[in-house]
Amino acid sequence: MKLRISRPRPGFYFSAAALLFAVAGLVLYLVTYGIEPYALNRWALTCSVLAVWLLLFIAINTLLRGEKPFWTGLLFIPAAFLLVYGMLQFLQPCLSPIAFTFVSSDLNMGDTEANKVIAYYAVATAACYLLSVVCIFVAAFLPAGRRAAGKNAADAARRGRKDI
Amino acid sequence: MRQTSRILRGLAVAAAFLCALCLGAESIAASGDYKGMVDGMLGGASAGGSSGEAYVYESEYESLEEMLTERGRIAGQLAEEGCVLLKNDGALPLRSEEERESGAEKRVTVLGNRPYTYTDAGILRDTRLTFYGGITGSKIYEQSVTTSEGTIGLPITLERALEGQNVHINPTMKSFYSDKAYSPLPAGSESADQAGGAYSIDEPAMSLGDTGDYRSYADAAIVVIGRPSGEGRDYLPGKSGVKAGSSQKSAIGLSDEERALIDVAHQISPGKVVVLVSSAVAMEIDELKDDDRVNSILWIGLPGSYGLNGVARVLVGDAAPSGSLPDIYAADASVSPAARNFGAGDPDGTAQFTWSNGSYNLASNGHYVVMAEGIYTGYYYYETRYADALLRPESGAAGSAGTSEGAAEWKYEDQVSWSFGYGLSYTTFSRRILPETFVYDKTEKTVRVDVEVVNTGNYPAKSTVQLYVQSPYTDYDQKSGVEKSAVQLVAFEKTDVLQPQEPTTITLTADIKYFASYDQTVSHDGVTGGYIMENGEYCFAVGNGAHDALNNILANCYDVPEEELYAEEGCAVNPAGTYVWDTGEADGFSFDADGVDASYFAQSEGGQTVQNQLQDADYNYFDTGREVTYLSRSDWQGTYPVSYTGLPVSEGMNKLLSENNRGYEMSTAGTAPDYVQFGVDHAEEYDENTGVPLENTDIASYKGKAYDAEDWDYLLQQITFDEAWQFAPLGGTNCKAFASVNAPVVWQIDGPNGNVTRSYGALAPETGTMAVAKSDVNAGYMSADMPCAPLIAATFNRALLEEEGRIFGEDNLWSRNPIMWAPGMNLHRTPFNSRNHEYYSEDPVLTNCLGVSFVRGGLEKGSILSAKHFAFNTQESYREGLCQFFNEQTGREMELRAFQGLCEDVEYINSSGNRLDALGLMSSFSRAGITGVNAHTGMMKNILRGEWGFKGLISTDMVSRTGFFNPTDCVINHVTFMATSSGETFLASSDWSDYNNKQRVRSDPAMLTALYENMHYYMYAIANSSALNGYAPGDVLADDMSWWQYALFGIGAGCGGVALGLCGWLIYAGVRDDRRARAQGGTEE
Repeated sequence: MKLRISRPRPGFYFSAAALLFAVAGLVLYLVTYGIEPYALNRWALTCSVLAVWLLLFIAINTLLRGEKPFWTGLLFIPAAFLLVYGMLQFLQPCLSPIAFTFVSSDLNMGDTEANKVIAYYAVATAACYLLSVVCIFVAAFLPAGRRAAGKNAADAARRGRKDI
Repeated sequence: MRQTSRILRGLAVAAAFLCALCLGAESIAASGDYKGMVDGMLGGASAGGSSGEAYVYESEYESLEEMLTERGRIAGQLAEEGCVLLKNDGALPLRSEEERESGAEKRVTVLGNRPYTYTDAGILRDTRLTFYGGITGSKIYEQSVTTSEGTIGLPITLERALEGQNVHINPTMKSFYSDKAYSPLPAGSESADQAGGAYSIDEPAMSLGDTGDYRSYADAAIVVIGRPSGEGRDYLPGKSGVKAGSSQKSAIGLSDEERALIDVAHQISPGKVVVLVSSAVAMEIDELKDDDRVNSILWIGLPGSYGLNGVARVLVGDAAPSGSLPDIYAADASVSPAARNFGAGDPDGTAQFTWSNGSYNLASNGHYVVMAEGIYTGYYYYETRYADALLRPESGAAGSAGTSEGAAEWKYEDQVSWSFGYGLSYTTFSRRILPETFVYDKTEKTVRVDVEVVNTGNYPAKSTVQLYVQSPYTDYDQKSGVEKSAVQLVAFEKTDVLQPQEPTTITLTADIKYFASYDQTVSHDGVTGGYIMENGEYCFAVGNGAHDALNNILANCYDVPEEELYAEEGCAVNPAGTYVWDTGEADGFSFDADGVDASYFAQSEGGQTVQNQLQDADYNYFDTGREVTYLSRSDWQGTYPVSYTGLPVSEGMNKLLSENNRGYEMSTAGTAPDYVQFGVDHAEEYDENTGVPLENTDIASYKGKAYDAEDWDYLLQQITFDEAWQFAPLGGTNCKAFASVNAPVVWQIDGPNGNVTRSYGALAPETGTMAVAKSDVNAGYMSADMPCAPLIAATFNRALLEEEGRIFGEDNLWSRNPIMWAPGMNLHRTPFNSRNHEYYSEDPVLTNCLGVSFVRGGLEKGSILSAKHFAFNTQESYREGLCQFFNEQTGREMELRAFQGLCEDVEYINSSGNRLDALGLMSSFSRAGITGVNAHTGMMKNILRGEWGFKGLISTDMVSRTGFFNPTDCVINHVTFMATSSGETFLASSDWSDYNNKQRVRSDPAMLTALYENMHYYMYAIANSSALNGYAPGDVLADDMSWWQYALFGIGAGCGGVALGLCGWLIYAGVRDDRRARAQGGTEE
């Protein structure tokens, strides 16, 4: 198999953006859980890591055209599910600090400064995850593969389909 | 086709998104923390038993509205009896006797921003101004309560309260403050943040020109000054506590803008200037005492939503003031012994209370405080030093240590503005101890005496009656380091309203255990440490406060000439105000050659041998190369506290700090008692004698049972190990259900001023007993509306406290919250703790007795009123993991004495005829020494559960750091559950890994035994509470899934199905296209 890289379609950029936001969210999550007392949530971590792997897989395959774009496109669906579920699992223990920081000081009886830090990180993390999901959503509507060129274009035209 | 596929793929992503969102949201919302809240908003199935009939505890009120109306009345009564008249040159009452009869209209000008917190619509203008209550934990909510009679309605502002008395306020001031009152206060905190923040009151500058038509409102000028209160904040002593450039000499001292209010008031209504001091902390306002422009001073605390009704009655004269100060008012509290070691660093702000060596200055173990003042906090210090200056000059009491601004001589009158227990009225009283009535009860270990009180003035009024004692301070005490306060409160009561010249006789009973001294050196029964009584004269005295009582002792027992005594306004030596009890002539004591009896209290009421348990709370216990000195009245100058900044830690301390309280190592050694079993099914068993099936296999069969009833094991053994194991670390917000014994979820709420956690409608059913319809105007109300604790303490009225406890119990019945984190029982170590509004007083016996009455009232309604924070939560700064160092005598006689009565003296008899004491406690964030309170075996297991025999549940404070809350140590020390709000996350914490290893716990006989006993404590508590209202024997826990949970599940599942369907179709279409392509001869690379 020859490695040929040509100009990506618009969906690729959204796939890449989704990957970047997901990675940023994961990094922020790891930073957040490192703050006392919010220890690691296994579901949040597992879901997030799987989602990042899926997005990475999509991006690399799209870039390299080493796999059928048809299968690649389907992976958006579990990626979105995992990201959202992971985000909610991660957010659960942070709801009190978030409410305390942004809504009302009456909901928290613990250490105020630590909770504020938690809240800011948590909101930033959630924002990254949500942006990633939005990008996935957009990418799912767009052609996600690469533009075919040369022989590939001819082959694609002969097959009557392009990558989806 | 390709376009269609992309659209379908996008839709599948959207469906997957919705599916995850619904399922994830359901799992969060259905967790114990939020389900009640969501149910409250949407209607759900969070509360109520399955039978709906088996109510042990029922409300006395027909409706929520009726209960709230009564609650408002009690709040007003508490404030009326609690406000303290400190000075009165005739400005109060506002109406003369003739005017009172006619209800004559009065027109006054009210100055100061604090009363104008609310808009006319009852909306709290700014939560940072806590005129009515504190911030968090005891906040006053802005919701209104609507009643048919309008009795409560909107929160009672000063304006509304005065209008109710036909007193009209100058409207110009209202608009003046509404425009600018709350700017430019810093966001987030009006009081100083913990960790070294500074604070200055931002009273808006004003002048006479701002007061409009003041001449029409000049019947009096009322100036309101005060300081806010809140959780997580401290004022810092002295200049370190105020912002640079502030005109205040301390955060609790007056600013120039506040002084200007006095000027303006004097111009408006000379001779009729009334200052209302609205503060839960004792402010430094000595300058007002001698200010001739100030005619009257009335302390009103933080009166809550409805307390100002009572204050207004006092102002106009419909009721006379009868409160007595719960704290001494120091002229400059920053030089007091306790203030030298308070907060984040020394009062000069130059050094911190952090370790000088090692790398242990983490958030939860890097800060400490040395309680170097020993027992000499509050009036114990000021009155003792005053007595020693007169009687024992060799002690150095009159020296310069602890004086303000470098004065060479310490004088009581320079240091104290108003003494503990002091309070004036519109009338005067005489108080006389009736010596012939004195009774020493050897069996009960009490002394009892009658006091005759006569209203000697012309105004009907109530009076507090306070009994103090001076214990002998002997050579043995000096040799052994036993400290004695020169005077201490031992009993108190309140009279009914006495008409002019009317006498009454009040019987006061004092527990001897509360004035016995703890001697950490004495030996008895083969152990070291215990309470001692001494051979000598115990001088009892009455008076208008501690200082007046002490003066009576000094004059009558020591023949100190009256002219050498400093008497407060309205006080004079009372020849009939003392009684001397000579223990050398009393039965029951066995004094040794030193005149000491250590056997009298050698055994506690719980049957344990009393001995030292808190040695490791003393910094000197550790080998660090440094020593701290505790204040002793034997040498005031040489032992006066310095600020202990930068103390070193030893290797041993370092180990404990770095391991974060892993004091208990699990082991498989030993065996558990036979009765310790889990998961036994007794349901099919029959009574051996009668052959009748055993019925006591669910918790509902145990309603009202005594702790030591024989059949508890039938119940407890059915609980599975997993239930008990998981229950301990996951108890925040609510206590989880036990399916094995059909014990329901039990909800908890905070706090001392009322419910700040959950509205009435959140959990209550819409129909049936004590129902709250969602359409009820009060369904969204949370009742954090009571006056602050110090104002309540100032009533000195135990009966009223019991009534308050009862209405809290009612409140908890209606809101379906059986466990409430109240009252606050920590002591006011200094006035700089901004959370003093949740705690009663600086005095352990006053705190003790009021807490006992409050909890007893709650038990009548099945409410587990659980005192907090046990113990040594003496400041907010760095309180999470704060190391507090103190000697054992200080610990025993101050903070612990405040809590002791809850375990030993409540003595409520329930409907089954069983005696109940307090059923709940919340432990504190602090460390005793360097060991977290929850992990401190001496304090939790040996004193609380052992010596005092406490049988109720214990929760930790809200766990927000795992570091110093270790479930293993909590369980082994009989903390029944931990207040966590994020269970799974905490369980994943490496700090808790030893406990999370289920097999390790299961293999440890001691842990198994502790878990089993903890289940006993917990089940006993809820069996004697309203938690089982509506549950009858045989009931099975209802499926409490709410409609919205089903809806979320449904939507989630539907979306998931759609996503899967679309996936399937896309796969099918993709495969089909590929086949077609291949059929056309194409190949993929």
